Amino acid sequence: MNFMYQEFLTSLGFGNIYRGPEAVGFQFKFTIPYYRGVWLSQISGGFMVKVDGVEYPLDKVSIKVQDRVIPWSEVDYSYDLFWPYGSYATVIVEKPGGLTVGLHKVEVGLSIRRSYMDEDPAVQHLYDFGDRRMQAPPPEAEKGSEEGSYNPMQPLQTCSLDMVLVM
Amino acid sequence: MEEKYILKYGFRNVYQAGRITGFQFKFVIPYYRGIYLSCLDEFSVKVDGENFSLNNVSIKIGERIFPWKEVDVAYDVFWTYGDPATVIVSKPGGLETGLHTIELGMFIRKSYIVWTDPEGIYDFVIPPLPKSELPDKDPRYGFQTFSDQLSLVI
Amino acid sequence: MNRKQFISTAAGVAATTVIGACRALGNSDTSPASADAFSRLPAHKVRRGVALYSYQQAIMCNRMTLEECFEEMNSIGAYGLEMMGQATIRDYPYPSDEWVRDYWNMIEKYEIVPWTYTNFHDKYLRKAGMTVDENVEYQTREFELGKKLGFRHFRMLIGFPINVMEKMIPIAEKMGVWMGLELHAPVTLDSKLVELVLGIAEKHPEAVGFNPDWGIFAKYPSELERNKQIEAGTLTREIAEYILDAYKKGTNKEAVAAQVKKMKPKPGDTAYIDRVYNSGRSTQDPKDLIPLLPYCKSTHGKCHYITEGNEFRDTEAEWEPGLRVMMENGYDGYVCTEFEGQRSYSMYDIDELDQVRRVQVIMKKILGV
Repeated sequence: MNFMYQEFLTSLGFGNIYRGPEAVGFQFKFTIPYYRGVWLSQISGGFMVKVDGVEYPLDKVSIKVQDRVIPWSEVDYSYDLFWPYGSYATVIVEKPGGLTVGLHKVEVGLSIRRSYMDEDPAVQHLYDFGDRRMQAPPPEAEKGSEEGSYNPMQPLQTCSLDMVLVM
Repeated sequence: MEEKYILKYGFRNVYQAGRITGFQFKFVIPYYRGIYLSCLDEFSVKVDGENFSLNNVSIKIGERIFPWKEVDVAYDVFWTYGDPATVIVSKPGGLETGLHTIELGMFIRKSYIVWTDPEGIYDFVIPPLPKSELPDKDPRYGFQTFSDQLSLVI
Repeated sequence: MNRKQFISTAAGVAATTVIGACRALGNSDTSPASADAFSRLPAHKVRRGVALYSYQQAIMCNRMTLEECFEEMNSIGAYGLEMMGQATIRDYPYPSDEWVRDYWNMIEKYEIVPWTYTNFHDKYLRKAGMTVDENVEYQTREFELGKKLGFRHFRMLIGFPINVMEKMIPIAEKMGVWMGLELHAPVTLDSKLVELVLGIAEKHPEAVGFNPDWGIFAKYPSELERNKQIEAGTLTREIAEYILDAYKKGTNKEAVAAQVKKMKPKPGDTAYIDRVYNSGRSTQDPKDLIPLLPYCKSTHGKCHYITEGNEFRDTEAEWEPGLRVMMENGYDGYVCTEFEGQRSYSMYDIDELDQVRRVQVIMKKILGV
């Protein structure tokens, strides 16, 4: 069953990436777990990629949106690249040799900065529901994000899917 | 779409010059490909248990409307896979606002069903039944029925 | 020789799977297929493909576009394309130039090889049937349409009138297209139908042949069907497993029926005996395909349920004997997966895309590519 914001991974396009005959990494796709498109930079708050329990450092990760490949370190500056609602983003992970043929458990976590969530504590007094937004993040969400970039208002939305890799 | 070949959207009364002349609903083909409209062989429309005569039924494909009696000769009209067809039923006054049960039945002539075997090369021919016994009776002969409950607003 | 000319050659077909494997990392350039890649080609010429029929629910529900189908085929290395004009072509039978141009752009982008056009010959457009001339006109248009999209093999479904096939031979020869009669269960390889068409194929091998459907090798009922019945409470797991086990061991049906009677069966349990024993009623031995293989240019890899988890097993048929026969007897072409299980169950019960990947894993392990 596809619950829109909970199951956003797909096995469509899951495969190793080859340079010549050698596998140099792998890729998989997911749709936006939200009801509209966002600028890519809006997801720079945190990201997590795990395959078969192994987490990949973000300096090995790039994200492809609209045919443009953005290394994780540049995502925060990609405020001119729109990720349209309903379209896939591709996660590209460098890993010499790629993944083996067969079943893999793929997990992804991301966080979307919403326009209606204020990050500046100074303005919060304008809204009388301000305090209710401040909730402690789930502990596992904190683990996967880069140090210093974690925003307490945006716990990672995570999804996990068992996918079959053919090549 | 899932198993819901009758669509929830587009169900409404049909208005002409301020009066309700009937109602309409949409469905997609319960098959894995599109067909020429003429291959739609048998058809039945029942709403809240009332069976409508095919004389009062038209089918709209794209922007073209075919009264049921013209469907049989519409062999140059292709009903595309996945595109909804609209069933238009004449019924002065239309249907009331609220929930209705729609039952739809159809038989599609399929090219690969072997009904006759003049060369004697198939050992799995489906013997033709008398026409009167065909629809509605035996799903093995390909008559499909669907029903769903839909809300009508206007 | 450009890429398109190259893939139309036999070597090109073989090399495509390797070239296609060279997906670029990010925006960096794809290196051309190296000599090394070519030297890895296996000796046989059996290649993997997908019939778009497999993704029908996803397409119908707008969850998968044609481009995404091609992308998915590329990412599993199944480059051979089989499609039905009547399910895929926008504005069939007269697609716009724009649609055709987009189609070719996608074919290029994802390195797809249009291989087989599944051809519904609608001889019942009128209730009373069509004249032979009308059928010839209809079929000629299908050839033209398929050819425009790069297909030279036409999978003619069972029921294609033999007299029309004969009329089409000179047209097919002139157009350079081939008609493969679908061999679909319960057709047997020693049937009159096969004998008749083999006679025609021997005289016109460029125009006529066979397109075997893997369903003829199916021996067992799908395990998903069994599991669904058990879940619904109409079938008892122990009894179902006993029946299937006994069937696999070759126990005769009467003995099984007598034993089941003692197990306090539900009506569904008793009915399952017939279901199991009938499932192999028209199973063919892959070896019997050998004499027909020179006339087979396309194969339809049907399946209904591959086991889930980390086990990759077709619950209805064994793939290895059939693929070995093809590998060892010079079959030169694609085996296009047709996953058909979505029609038997709710789409929530089964993931088409995952099932295609699973059967492709089975094939890849046997074929090596």
